[in-house]
Amino acid sequence: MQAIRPRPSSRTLGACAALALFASPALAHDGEVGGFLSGILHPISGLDHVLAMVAVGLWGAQLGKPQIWLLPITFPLVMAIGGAAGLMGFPLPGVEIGIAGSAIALGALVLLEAKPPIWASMLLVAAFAIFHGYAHGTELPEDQSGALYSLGFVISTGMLHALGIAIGAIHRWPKGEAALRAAGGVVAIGGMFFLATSLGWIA
Amino acid sequence: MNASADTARITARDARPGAATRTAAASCAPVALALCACASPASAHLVQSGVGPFYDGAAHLFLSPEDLVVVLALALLAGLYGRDVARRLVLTLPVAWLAGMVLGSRMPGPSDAAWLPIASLAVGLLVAIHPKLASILPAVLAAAIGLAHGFYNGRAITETSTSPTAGAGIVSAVAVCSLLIGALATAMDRPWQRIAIRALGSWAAAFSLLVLAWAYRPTPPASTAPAAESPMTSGE
Repeated sequence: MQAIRPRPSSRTLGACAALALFASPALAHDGEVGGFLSGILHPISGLDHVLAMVAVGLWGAQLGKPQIWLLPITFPLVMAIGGAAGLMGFPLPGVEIGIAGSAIALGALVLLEAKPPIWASMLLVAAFAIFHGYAHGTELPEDQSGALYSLGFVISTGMLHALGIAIGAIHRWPKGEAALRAAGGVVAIGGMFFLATSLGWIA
Repeated sequence: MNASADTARITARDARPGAATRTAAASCAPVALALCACASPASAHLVQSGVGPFYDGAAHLFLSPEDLVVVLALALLAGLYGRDVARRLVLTLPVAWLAGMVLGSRMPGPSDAAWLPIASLAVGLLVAIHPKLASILPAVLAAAIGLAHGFYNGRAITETSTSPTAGAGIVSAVAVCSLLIGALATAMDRPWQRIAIRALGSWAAAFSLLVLAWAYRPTPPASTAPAAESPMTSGE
């Protein structure tokens, strides 16, 4: 006699996922909810951050294994070191220039389909992550939960990397390869705009 | 004939490593999602769930990122190292957490819990790096971390005159979380899934480092320091 094992169908999972959308919001504490939301929104709200973080995923996807996972693991870890430096009040000059420069460099690397050694790609991404983390650390709002803000922005950063990797999956097709390089060019141009803004060349 | 072939196929499928765990985890997923959908709004850290102290305690874990992240990171670590390690975690972590709560409610000890994220930082790094470890090490880590976190929970329960039933809620939530996440991580045995787990470990480590920096930053305002945010952890 054949045993029937309960297996959730995709329809069941879909229905449950839809139900989850109607979940009541957790009204834990205004400062804490605000902290989490601020953390989630912080990397997204600045296009310079978005460009650089998505570009990390694009470059990782273009480089393939093992950088496809090494880069998105390196970035948040080193970004946290930068964030800690910002919180502790260590001085770091040229943060905005560094952030814009990271978008230019990462975009250019994708555009040129550069393939440096593994250690060099990790070092480069780590160096850029310091600037992004520092900016997050210094902009952490005092009246909100530091833990939830940190949790929010680490998750948000990771999601941006994942978005970059997902977009970078087009690399496996010949036309996608060209499109990916073009996307790198767009990132680099965006970075140039933000560099010009931070240097005061554009109001 | 067809029936025997089906049976053989099912047996072969279930004999695959992680098949039973995967099925169990998949079966739990709709229940967990449905529970999320039915959840009442939580209006404070611990005592406002509206359904009694047990659920206040259970909700506390999910409203305390410092506690939740270390449980998740430990479960991911155990899951990375296989089914046996994950099983040990499910036993070790809640028991150690409970023992720590008992100790914390009866013994004097340090009141500053701001150092606790060092544990989740270390565990997150281990998940991200995934080095070769003795199979007993995750259980040892879980015991030490469970004792430490439970200790501060126990202190807080005593100092705030909270019902001890809340402690049972916390331990139950720790057990359920480590069971579900450990099972899920064990079942995620494809290369990209292992990478996703390691990426999550790096997130846990990054979060912990930032929380530590937040706690020890110069002149933190007393009202927003992490020690004050999580009364069950800090002992406030």
